[in-house]
Amino acid sequence: MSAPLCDGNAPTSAGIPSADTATPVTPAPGDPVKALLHRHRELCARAVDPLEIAAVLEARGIAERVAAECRHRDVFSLAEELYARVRRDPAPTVWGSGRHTAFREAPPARLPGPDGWWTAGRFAALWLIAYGLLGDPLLTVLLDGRPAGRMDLVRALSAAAPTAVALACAVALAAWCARWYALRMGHALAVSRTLGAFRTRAWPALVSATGLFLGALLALLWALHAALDRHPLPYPAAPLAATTALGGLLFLARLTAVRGCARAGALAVLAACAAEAVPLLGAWLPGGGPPAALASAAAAHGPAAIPLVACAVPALALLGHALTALSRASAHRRGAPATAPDGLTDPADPGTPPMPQAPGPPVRPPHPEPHTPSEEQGR
Amino acid sequence: MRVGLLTEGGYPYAAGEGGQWCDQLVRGLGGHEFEIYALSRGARQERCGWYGLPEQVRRVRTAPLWGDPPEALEGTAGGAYGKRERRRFGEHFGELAAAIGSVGAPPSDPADDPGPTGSPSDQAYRFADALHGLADLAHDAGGLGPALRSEQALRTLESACRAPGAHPAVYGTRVADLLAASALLERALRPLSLDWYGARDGDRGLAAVDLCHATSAGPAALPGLLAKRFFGTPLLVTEYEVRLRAYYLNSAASAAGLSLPVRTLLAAFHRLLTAEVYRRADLITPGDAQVRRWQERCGADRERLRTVPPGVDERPYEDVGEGAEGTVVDDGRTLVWAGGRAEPYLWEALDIVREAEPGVRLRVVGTPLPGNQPPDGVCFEEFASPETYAAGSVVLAGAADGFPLPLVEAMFCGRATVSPDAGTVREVIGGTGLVVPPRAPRELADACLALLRDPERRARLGAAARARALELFTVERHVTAFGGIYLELISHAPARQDAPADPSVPFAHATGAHPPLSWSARQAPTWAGRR
Repeated sequence: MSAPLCDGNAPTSAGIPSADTATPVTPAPGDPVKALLHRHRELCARAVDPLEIAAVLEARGIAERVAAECRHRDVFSLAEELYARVRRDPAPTVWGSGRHTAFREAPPARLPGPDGWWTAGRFAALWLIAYGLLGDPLLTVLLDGRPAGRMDLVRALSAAAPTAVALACAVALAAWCARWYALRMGHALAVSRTLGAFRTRAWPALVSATGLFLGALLALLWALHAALDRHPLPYPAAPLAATTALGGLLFLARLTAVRGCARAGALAVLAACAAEAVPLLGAWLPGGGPPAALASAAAAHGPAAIPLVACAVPALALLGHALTALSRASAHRRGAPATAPDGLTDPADPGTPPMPQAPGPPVRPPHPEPHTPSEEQGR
Repeated sequence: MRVGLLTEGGYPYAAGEGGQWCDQLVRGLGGHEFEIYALSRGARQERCGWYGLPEQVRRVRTAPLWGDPPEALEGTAGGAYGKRERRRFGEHFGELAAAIGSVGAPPSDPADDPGPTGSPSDQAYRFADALHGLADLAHDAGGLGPALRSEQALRTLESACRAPGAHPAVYGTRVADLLAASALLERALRPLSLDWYGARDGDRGLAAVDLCHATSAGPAALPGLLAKRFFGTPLLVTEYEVRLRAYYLNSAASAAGLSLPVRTLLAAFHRLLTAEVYRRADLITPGDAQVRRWQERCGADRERLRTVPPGVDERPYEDVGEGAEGTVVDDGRTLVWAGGRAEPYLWEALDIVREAEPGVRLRVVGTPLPGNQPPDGVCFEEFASPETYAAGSVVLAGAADGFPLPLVEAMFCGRATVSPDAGTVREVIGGTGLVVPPRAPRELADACLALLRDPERRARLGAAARARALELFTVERHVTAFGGIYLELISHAPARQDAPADPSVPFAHATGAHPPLSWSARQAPTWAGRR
């Protein structure tokens, strides 16, 4: 198929008239089909089957008469000869030729999956952030059992300031990392020849993106604490690690949610929420029980141990899930190239005719009116 | 009788092609009830509103054939097929993928056994089998959407592309191509997942329809195929523009956007789907010979083809055609061009005419092409009114492709015509006008001059053209033809046993089903001597 019956002495493409001019073919001495082939070379080279050539030839005004001049019974058999005679280059892959810059992070507008998970995940994330900022002092105060004073609040707020600034910066960082990941995935989609090859490209990219984000967040946190805090260096590691784990958890939850796994992300975030709420509840409620025991156990290792464990364990579980879930090519549908200009991320159907710009047919406008006798949307 | 009108991207949406004749048909056949099952083609189309619907349209159901599958379409499956459903899906989708992956593949060795890919008829058979298997699965499981977008579908498609007999063009498929192809296949197969075939809430949908009339052979006819399979409803397919041909034209125009493997797979799918529709349809009505040729080429049986030319509303041309008082009369020196874009060869032809007959004017319907300066004495009009045609002594009309509407309008006006030979011009004009080779200024000018110099011949040809148009291209004849076809199809359809016979449906009682003599009372005549 790649090099079928082809004339060795075919002229090059220079000087070939544009394919739009559909003047009747002057019978070339010997081979009228060759003249036709040169005039419509691009069409014939790109066509996927003879019927496509026949359709375009007819649209260009080449009909039975020209087919008869080429000694063919009809346009279809002429198109078959053209299809068989053209030299077809090995399939030029459009997506593999640097076009992957068109890949983009999926818009969070219409997310797949049940809406409930997305909402629950959002509220849980807000709670986690609030705890990450103010949870440790609160737990300390509750465990001490003394009434909190005004100075405690001021101290807690000032201690939370570097973390808050770091988390705000982490949003931009996460967006950049997610974009980098989406680009890597788009590239992997474009160059992988098999689903297995895609898988081997996908999981290192996820690990790198997560590691990149975590490392950058940790560095950011350390720098901000060094700059804004009056603590002597070295700063205690547990609070930094806890905030990093929180960032990592939220990053992974968001990354999976936009790729159709909103449920897993929301479950991980909710689990972290619960793990943080239980000791807090135990310290607040009078009386014993497992929550109180947990709270006192956590206090023994410092208050930051609770968010660290509560975020790190679900984050690791989510990473494990994402390594399989995001290695599937079907999870990256929304990152496919955006060929449709109207905001659809899916490629447009090649057979869909362009819609007329003006409403209504151009010749005789009908009477469009929102007339719905018993309109029922198909499910 | 209740007719299910199946459309895609046309009626009842105002923006789209083919709405005009559906509107005429629905308004013209007031004796029947219509249910419209419409697939829309884009958000813009949905925003542009609908035609005004007459009261015989009992209801309209719509579904989008674009974008992501709506949540509701995911049905009970919701992405979680059971093990048995997954196995069924893999089996049928694998067959479908194998069929579309091997269309057009050259035989590896003619002497060899055809192998698993087989001959074209074998492919068509496998495709039909798989399509109906998927339809059954969608009916049982409540939808295919999530399964068609799942990893399983990608794996199936991948192995079909790497199978031994696959088309060479799909060998180089990348993962991104698999994603795009599966998304587009999901879109094309979406009619299978709709709840138009009898929902659990008692809505009978297409089961309550006596006849399905599809307005194209593409995805619009899929619901008709399923209704025929599930309920035995007769299927009529009407095409004024071959859907497959339009598909190829748009695919060729948008070739830069999608890779070759995706276009190959999708083209194969549409080709096989079209062939399956043509094979199953009870009757196919092409609009003209060009459409007919395409349909025959794609596998339509010649015996089930019946050409029904489109109807054009003749009333606006009545006064002009009959030469009523006060209408514009033929002045013997005006040419009207209504044959599409005015290209430079037209000015050459005008120069030749003017050399022989100075003072000839040319009115062009359309807008001037940029960078193409018309000579003096040429005026442009954006739309053709009956008066425009009436002003012309000779109307140069035609269409580069498809049905030449301006030519029919000129025929209704009773004007002599000269048409460049393209599309279906010869078939439309018959012997009632002159036909010249396309883009030939000398021949065009000669034909014009011959008519301009002979008023009697002009009048004769004009009258003959008007008579021919009234005979063939009126709305009334168009609507009557379809009314007759409906009756014919319903008369061949077997009487429904499951539902009580509806008195409004002709031929609902099978002859002989209720014989005048009762069979149950087996009383021997008294003279037989028995007790």
